[in-house]
Amino acid sequence: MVDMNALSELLQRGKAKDVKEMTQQAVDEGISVQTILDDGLLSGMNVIGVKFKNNEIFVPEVLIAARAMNAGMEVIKPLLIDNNIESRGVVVIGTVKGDLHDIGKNLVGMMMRGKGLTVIDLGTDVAPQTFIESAISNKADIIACSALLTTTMKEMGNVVKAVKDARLDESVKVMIGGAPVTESFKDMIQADAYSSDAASAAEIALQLCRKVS
Amino acid sequence: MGEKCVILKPDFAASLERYKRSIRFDCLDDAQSEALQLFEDAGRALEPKVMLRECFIDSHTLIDSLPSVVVGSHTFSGKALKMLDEVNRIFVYVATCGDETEHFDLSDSDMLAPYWLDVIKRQSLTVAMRELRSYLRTHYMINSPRSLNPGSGNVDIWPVDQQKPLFDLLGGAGRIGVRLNDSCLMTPNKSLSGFMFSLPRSDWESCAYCERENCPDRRVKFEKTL
Repeated sequence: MVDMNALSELLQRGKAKDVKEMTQQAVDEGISVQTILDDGLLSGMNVIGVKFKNNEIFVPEVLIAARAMNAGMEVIKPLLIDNNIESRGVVVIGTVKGDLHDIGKNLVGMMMRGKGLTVIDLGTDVAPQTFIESAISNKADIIACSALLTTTMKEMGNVVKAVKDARLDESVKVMIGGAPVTESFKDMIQADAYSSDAASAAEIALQLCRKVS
Repeated sequence: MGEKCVILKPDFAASLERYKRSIRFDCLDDAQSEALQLFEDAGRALEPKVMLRECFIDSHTLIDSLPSVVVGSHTFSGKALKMLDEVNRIFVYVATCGDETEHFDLSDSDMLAPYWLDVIKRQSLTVAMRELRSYLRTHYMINSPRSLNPGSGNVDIWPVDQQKPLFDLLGGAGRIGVRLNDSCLMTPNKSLSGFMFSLPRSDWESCAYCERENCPDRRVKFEKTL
């Protein structure tokens, strides 16, 4: 019988090939997809998130763990659909217009996927209207904006305004983050949430999705 | 205003050992060959380059209370430019990893391939910057050049839109494959631009102006009094 702790451990060590094989083995043994997801894959990613937040591990370790989770998800994704296990929420994420930095944004996206959220990654240099169009077409619960530069963080205010102008502010929450962004900046531009690190961002996104739905 | 532009093209041999360490190669048992192939392809293709020009500051002034310098027909303003108060000669530069991998299509590659490529490009940019410092040392006997970069740190330090006059001073940087987009960001992404200069005060770093906490590139503490 596949041990979910062992699966979680392998994921934390970034062993994508082994995670894929063990996930397949768990499926073959009849372990429920929800158990594999919650107790194996997401559990491992949660540990990674906490370690990253505490500076016990760094970007490369998070990336290879996320890659391993992706390998496991590939196995169970068709089963999640078959079993009608819904996504826990939809997040449209991107780096704001004028900013090409994406490592932080990618990490947040991976952490959010690790929480069972569906993440639509729009990439970098994303205009407010692009966020809006994607949020509408994907029925998003959250728009998550990233910026690394003080010069570009102002764009986040434009995204908040665009959400209000499109009358989406009841159904779509705007999250912001990035090196120069602060809680007070979030208040100033009237965004819904701010996070200082990738792990917290994923947790906050999950909470917001619960509130929205 | 100064000499014509100089273009430097240092040799580049990417370090496999550093690459492997950076991407945690040992964990990639199912993708090691792909990671190695990308290293070979990108390492062979990338050609780090630097474009620089020796310029002289015509005047130091204040514009809207901000320290400013006039170089030829161009004016630069920003809090950090106070550091140029006692400087008359600057070296305007753009350094890049090279644009030879910009057309690489990684859409069908491993999800971490873009990150691997960035690691190799960063190595290339490091070589370009080393060549620039070496050039200034051997040709101008500037042993510890200081650098100011538009867009680096807080918005008022030296605004990113001052990339435009900086690029104008070089007549554009297309000859080394670097372009500015509408937001004044550079492509290739692993490119650096700025002024280099010699400063009597040897311990100064531009980070002293920036209050961004937890910056991985911080070299000195933020100085509130500046």
